[in-house]
This record gives sequence, structure tokens and C-alpha cells, in this order.
Amino acid sequence: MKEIKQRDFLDPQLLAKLGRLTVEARRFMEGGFAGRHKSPHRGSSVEFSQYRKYVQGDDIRNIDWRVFARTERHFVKEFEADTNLRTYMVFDCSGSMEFAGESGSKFKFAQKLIATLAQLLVQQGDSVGLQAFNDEILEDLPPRNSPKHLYAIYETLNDLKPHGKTDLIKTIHDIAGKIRRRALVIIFSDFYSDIDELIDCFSHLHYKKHDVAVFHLIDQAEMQFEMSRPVRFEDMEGGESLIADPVSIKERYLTEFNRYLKEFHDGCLAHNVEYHLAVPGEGAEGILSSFLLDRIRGAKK
Amino acid sequence: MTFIEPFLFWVFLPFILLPILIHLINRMRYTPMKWAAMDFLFKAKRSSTKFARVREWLILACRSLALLFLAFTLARPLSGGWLGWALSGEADTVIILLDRSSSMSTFDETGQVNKVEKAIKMIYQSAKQMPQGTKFVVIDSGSAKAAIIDDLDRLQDPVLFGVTNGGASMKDMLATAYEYIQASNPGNCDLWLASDLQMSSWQPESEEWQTLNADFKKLKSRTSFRVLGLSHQPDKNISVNLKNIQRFTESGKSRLEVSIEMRRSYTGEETIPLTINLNGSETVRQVKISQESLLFTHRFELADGDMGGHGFFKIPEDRQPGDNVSYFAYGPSVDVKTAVVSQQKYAKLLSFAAAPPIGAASSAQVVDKNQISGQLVRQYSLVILDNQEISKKEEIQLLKYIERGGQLLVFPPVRQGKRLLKFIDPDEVETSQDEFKIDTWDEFQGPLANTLQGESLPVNKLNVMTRQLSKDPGQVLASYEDGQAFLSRYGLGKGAVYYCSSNLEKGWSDLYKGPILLPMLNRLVNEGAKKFSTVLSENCRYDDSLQSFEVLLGDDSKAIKSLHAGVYKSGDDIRVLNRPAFEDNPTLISEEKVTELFDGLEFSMFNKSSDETENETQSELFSMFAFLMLIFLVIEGFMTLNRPLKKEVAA
Repeated sequence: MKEIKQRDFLDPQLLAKLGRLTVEARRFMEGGFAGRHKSPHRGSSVEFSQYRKYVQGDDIRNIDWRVFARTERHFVKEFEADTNLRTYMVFDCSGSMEFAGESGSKFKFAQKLIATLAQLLVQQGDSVGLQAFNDEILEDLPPRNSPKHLYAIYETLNDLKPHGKTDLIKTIHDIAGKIRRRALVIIFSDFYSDIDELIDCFSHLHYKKHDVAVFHLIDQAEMQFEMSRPVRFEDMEGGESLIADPVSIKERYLTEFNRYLKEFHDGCLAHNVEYHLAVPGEGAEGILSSFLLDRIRGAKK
Repeated sequence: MTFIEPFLFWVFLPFILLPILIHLINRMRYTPMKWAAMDFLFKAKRSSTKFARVREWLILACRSLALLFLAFTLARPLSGGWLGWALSGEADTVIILLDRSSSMSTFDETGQVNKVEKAIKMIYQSAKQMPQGTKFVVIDSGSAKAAIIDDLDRLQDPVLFGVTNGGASMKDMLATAYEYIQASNPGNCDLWLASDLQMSSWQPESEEWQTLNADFKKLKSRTSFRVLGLSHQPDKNISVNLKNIQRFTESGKSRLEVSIEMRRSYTGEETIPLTINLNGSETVRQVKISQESLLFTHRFELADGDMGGHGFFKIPEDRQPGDNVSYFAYGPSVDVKTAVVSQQKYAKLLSFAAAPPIGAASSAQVVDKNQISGQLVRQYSLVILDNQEISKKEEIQLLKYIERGGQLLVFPPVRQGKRLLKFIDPDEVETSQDEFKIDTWDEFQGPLANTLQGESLPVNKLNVMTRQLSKDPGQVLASYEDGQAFLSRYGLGKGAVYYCSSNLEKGWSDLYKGPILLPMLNRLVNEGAKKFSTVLSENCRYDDSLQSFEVLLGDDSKAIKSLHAGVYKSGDDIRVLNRPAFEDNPTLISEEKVTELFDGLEFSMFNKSSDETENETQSELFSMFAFLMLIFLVIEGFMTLNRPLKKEVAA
């Protein structure tokens, strides 16, 4: 029997609160199993879809004999197919994610979000995969829905350490190319990359008919820039450093930063990418509730 | 800029570097921090560097300036007024040179304080601020003597340092100061010169200034000159001045003619009541005047056997009371005689020219040399020697005559080889085809002075073809273009010897034509006549001998009588003292000229050219600097405050 380890990123209370909510897909999904999510294919659910002419090879069990009795023609009765959801958790593990404000690091917060969502998804029978990367793919767990797989995700999450530079653009393009069937792609990153290139990545995912959501991990300290003494800023992803008086550059920094946030947010919405600003200090419950409820509302429409 | 507490200023001055030091230390004491969003930092740094640096330095400048002004405030800076100005030095001896001349009697607008009192008040105020142990020496224009002041309160005693009716000579006072410094050798010496900057008191053209300037430069003591100029003048001022007084006797009847000049600082027709006092009886004469000055003669008919009297002319009080009264006195009728010793054909002309005006009891005679030998010479006012050789005995007699007040005029040629009358050392006789022209002469006093009306004698039009100079030029009263003396004066006792380097002969000059000769001889005769008169008219000047005199007219409360106008008597001697005529001349010396006089010396000047109040000129600048400090703190605060930022964070 496997030993049950205590994980920082697993919060039973949070899971209990969110347990009644489901993770819904906003688009048709192509799962490997029957599930609760709509599929683009016809299947064997109870929900009637249409009649079509019998062609050779069709299962004769699907022929509607009543229609044959009336029309003397063979028609096959088709039903909607329900499938399971395959979710790819794309996790930025570059050095910049280590940035920690008063409420802990962005990396740990992302771990918590991923772990919680993975639990919820597996719980509802959907498959979850994990792609951890910095400037290369660090871990690649394909989506599965077994508890054993969930445990493997936890183990992987636990073992990951943020380090190195990021190559977010290449990674997303690679993932978009690699995932063949429709899936939910959730990206956890601080997205410190060129916005236009990021939007291109999202277009690529969208083109592949994936449902894309992003959790934008930004710390309160990065947003407020409240410092009074001169600081030697050291790049968390490289050797660069900068000595500056925060007071003198604050105004300009915040202008640039807020412009970036707005442009990224607007770009996501414009490309049908679900955007969630994830600030560690604001707690995981609010962010995940918002994510899940939005999805439920989107699925009903 | 001066301070009451200079020590505090120097203590606090280094603190202005504090903000810069703190800034630099802060820059060095940076905190290392891992940062994710570096791109934004680089962008912000790039775009805000210029502005941020300017703002940063402006903030530092504001802080430093605020501290600087705090230092100023604590050190109690003083305005450019006299008080601050006078306290700027660190002298251990202060020599106060005080102009107490008649022109300093001008009152300010309030009519309460005259220039002398104002100067003393300002000096007193400054002197009180000087450190303990500072030595104060006063040299006033009255005595021109250095007096150490132990008690500063004595400065405010009007009896000792009030205004006088005398003149002032700044260079004489400075010469006294120089002698004092040389004798006492103080380390640091400040010389405070208080004057109304009247041109006549300064006489900037005098060569003595150059000597004084050079002398002060040579002194071992550090000397610093500070001139307190009180040059403000009243808008309207009238002065009265007695120009001449003469007693005439005609057909047994005597009359007194007094020439009066009234001067105004403005024009426009008006009638001025002139109070005339003669022997105690007063009359008022209404004098109409339309120009700036008016010269007129007032006649007194004298009773038979009138043996003399005294009186004054007075105009109503104005802001300059020192020039509102002029005193006079006269004695019994005197026979005035002139002896002309000449064998020349123009001897008669000389005697005619020397005869006093018609009506006066006077005469001129061509006499032999024996008439001026022995006791006989004493009867003459003026003796004219023309082309004469005199014996040793005659020379002794003549010198005695001169010492007693007699006037002697000598015309060449004079035999070369020995001095004539101790002074005249004849050179060779020179003749010039181009004529010797006279270009300089004393127009203010002496035999070639201007007329009563102020017109100058045509001395420069005199043609001199032949001359015989004296190697000893004595006091030069007129000189040729080449600088040689035309007319020299050699003072001896109460009288004087005059040597004219040309004579009346046609081959020598055209002196015989009269326009110069007549007034010249007339003045010499009048000067010589004084020795027969019991009345002596003089300008007010320091004279101890007058202390024993009785005051007939004037203020008898003054400490030094000779410095105040009036009529004084001792036995048969009558002394009339008036302010010098040049005291009525309002011309001022320019600040530039004064500065020029002290060229190369440590010098500063505070000229109070208006009637502004004491407080305005001597206020501290405390409040101004405190306000400036506040302003810079507010600016610094405004620049330091972070502007509210719009949160443009996406939902």
C-alpha cells in the first residue's frame, strides 16, 4: 500500500468546498471514454440525434425496424455521443515563477491550482495530463483518469522546482502540435513574454479546436511596486541585474506593467481564451470558483 | 551679506551637503531582490532615467537650499542696510570719521533728526553690536583730532558731536586717522566715514588723495573703509550768505554796504522775508526772487561817530537750518593806505589801481624806498615793490610788517643771485615770441578769485611776453600752461608776500590794461586793511583761542565756540564767524568717484540717498529666509509625493 504523503498544495477544505462543482468544457471534446462532455461524434447515449440511411458495415442492431416497416427502407437511428474530458495542465516552471510575495510564491500557488483542478477532474472521471516546462519540457504526463495517475501528478508536482529561463512560446506551439484530439488546455504561467507571440500561440491552440484557459500568475508586489529604498533587482531567469531607485521609476514601471496586463487580457478575450488573473494573495478558492462557475455557465449556453 | 550670529552660519553651512551624502549613502546601501518582471524595470528605467535624474537632483537641490536657508535664518542675516553692512568686519578698532559740517544740518522729512544725528544714531546702533573690547576712536570734522570714546553713549551728546557751522575735509580727517593708526598700530581697523558726500568736503581732485591712498596701502594694520553716505537733500532749500561788507565814508557821513546772496534749490517767483538785525534792532525786508540765486546789496546808514556794531541776516527756518543765517560786524572807519615803490613810468597807474573804491577812506601813493623803511611802513595796508633792490635792513623791516598782517606785492625784474625777502628766489628773465598763457588759477579765494557775482576774472586772456620766475614757487595762485607760477603767495605771520612773475611794462605783459590788475590790487588792499580793523570775519573752524571770547550773537551753549556761527568779542577784538561759502554748494561727489578714491583698499559704501526710515534700512532678513526655507520644503514635498496612479489592471 502506498504511503499517503501530506502535500502543501493539497487543501482538503478547498477540495470539499469545490467538490460540488464540475469542470465543464466549453467546446466539443474528443475523449477516449464515455463521459459527461459533448463529443463531435455520434454515440450511444440516450439522447436521439438523427436518422440516416443504412450503409454497408453499419451495425444492424441500430436499424430502426419500425421505420423499415413503414417505409421498407433501412434507416439507422443515431444518438449523441458523450465523452470524457481530456485536460492538459501546462505548467510554467521557469525561474520567474519562484517570485514570492507576502503570500508565497507564484509557483506554489500554481501547484495548488493544478492539484485542485486535477483532483476535481479525475473525480468526475475526466483525464488530466501535466506538461511542466521551462525552456524545455521537464515533465510530460499524458491525460489519464485513474487515481493512480492523479497520484503520479501529485508526485510530479511535488518534485518540480522552478528554475531556468522560460520558452513559453515554443512550448505552447509544441503542445498545440502534439495534442491531436480536442482537449481543454489550461496554462499556468506569469506570461512574461511577447504578447503578440503569445496570442499567436493561443490562435494555434484555438485552430486545433482546443478549449484554452490561462491562469495569469502575478504577485501583488509586482503589481504595486511598493519599495522605498534603492534595490538591486536580479533577474530570476538569468544573470542580469539592475540597480534602481524604485521611487524614481515606480510611475513608469506601473504604467508599463498595467499596459501589459491590459493588452494581454484583451488579447486573450479577443481570441476566445479564458483569462484568469491569479494573485497568490487573493486565495485559490475565489479564483477556482470563478473558473468553474464560468465554465458551468458557458456549458449551459 | 552679514550676520549677527556668523558662527551659527558656518556651523550649519556644511549641513547643506547632508541630503547629497544621504542620497549617495542610500544609493550604496541598496537591497538585493530577485525580480521576475525585469523587462518592465528595464523599460521603466530607460524611459524615466532623464526625468527621474532631473527630479532627483531638483529634490536634492531643494533640500540643500532649505538647509542653506535654515543656516541663514539661524545666523540672523542682516539686510544691506547700514547695521548689517557696518558689522561685516571683525575689527578690533573702529575709527569713526564724522562730518559735522554745516551742510549736515539738513533735517529728514520728520524734521526731528538732522544728518549728523542720523549718522550718529546709525553708528551708535552698529557700534553697540560690536564685540566687547572693540576700541572706538572718533575724528570729527570740527577738530579733526582723534579722540578715544570709552563710553559709546557720549556719541549721542549733541554738545560734543552735534552739527557745526564749519566745513569738513575728509582727507584731513583721513590723514589724522592714518597718523593714529600708524602710532597705535591696531591689528584690524575699520574706518567708518559718515558724510553727506558734499563735493567740497571731499575735494576729489586734490593730489593729497593719492598720497593718502598710498599711505594706507603701506600700513601694516588691516584697514577697511566703510563710507556711510547721507546724500539725501531737501526738495526745497534756501540759503543766505553774506558775501562782502564794506564801510564807506563820504562827506563825513558813513554807510555800511552789505552784499547778500540768497540761493535756492528751485526756481519760481516768490517773496522771502529777510530778517535784518543790526545792533539788536530788527527789520524785515521782503525780497523778491525768481531765479535760483539773487545777489543784492543792503545799505545801512550809520550815525555820526558810529564806532562799530554787529548783526545778522536771517531767512525763515527750513529743512537745512545751517544756512539760514549769516552774521556780520563792522568797526570804526579806517584809513587804508597803499605804498607803490617804483621808478617806472607806470608807477602812477599802479597807485591808481591800488586806490580803493571811491568814497572809502583810502589812498595810494608812489613813494621812495625810505618811506617804507623803519616804523613808517606800518601805516600801509599794501606795499608794492616794482623792480626794486632792498637792503638787509629794509628787508628786516618789511618782514616785520608782513608778520603783523601787511601785504607785499613784488613785481620783477629782481636781481638774481640772492633771495628777496626770504622767499623769492629769482630765475633768469625769459621772453617768448608765442606769449606765456595762464590756464590755471584759484577762482575761489585769493586775489584772483571770482567776483561777488561769481564771474571769473579773465586771467586766461592775459598776454605775458616776458617773465622772471621764482625758483621757489611758494603757494601757486595762478600758473602758466607750462606749470610755472604766474602769481605766488608766501605766507608769513598774519600777512603774506605775493610775487607776480611779470610786470606792467608793455614788453612784459598787458597787465596794465586793468581787468586783472584792479581787482587783484583791490583785494590785496582789503586783505591788508584787516590788520587795522578790530573786526575779523572768518569761516567757522577749530580755534581754541576763541573759547575766551564773549558771545555777542549766536548760540552760547556750544562746547567749541569757533565751530559755530556768531559774533564773538574779546576786549576790542570782534570775531565774526560764518559757515564757509562752499558749504552752500549742493554738488555731491558720485559714488563712483568715492570708490575711485579708495581704489586698491578694502572699501564699501552704504549710501542712504533717500529719507527712508531707520527700520527699513536695518531690518534683519530672518523672516525672508525662513519663508524661502519653507518654500523650498514645500517644493521638495510636492516633488517627493507620489502621484496617484490609475490602476489599469485587467479584471
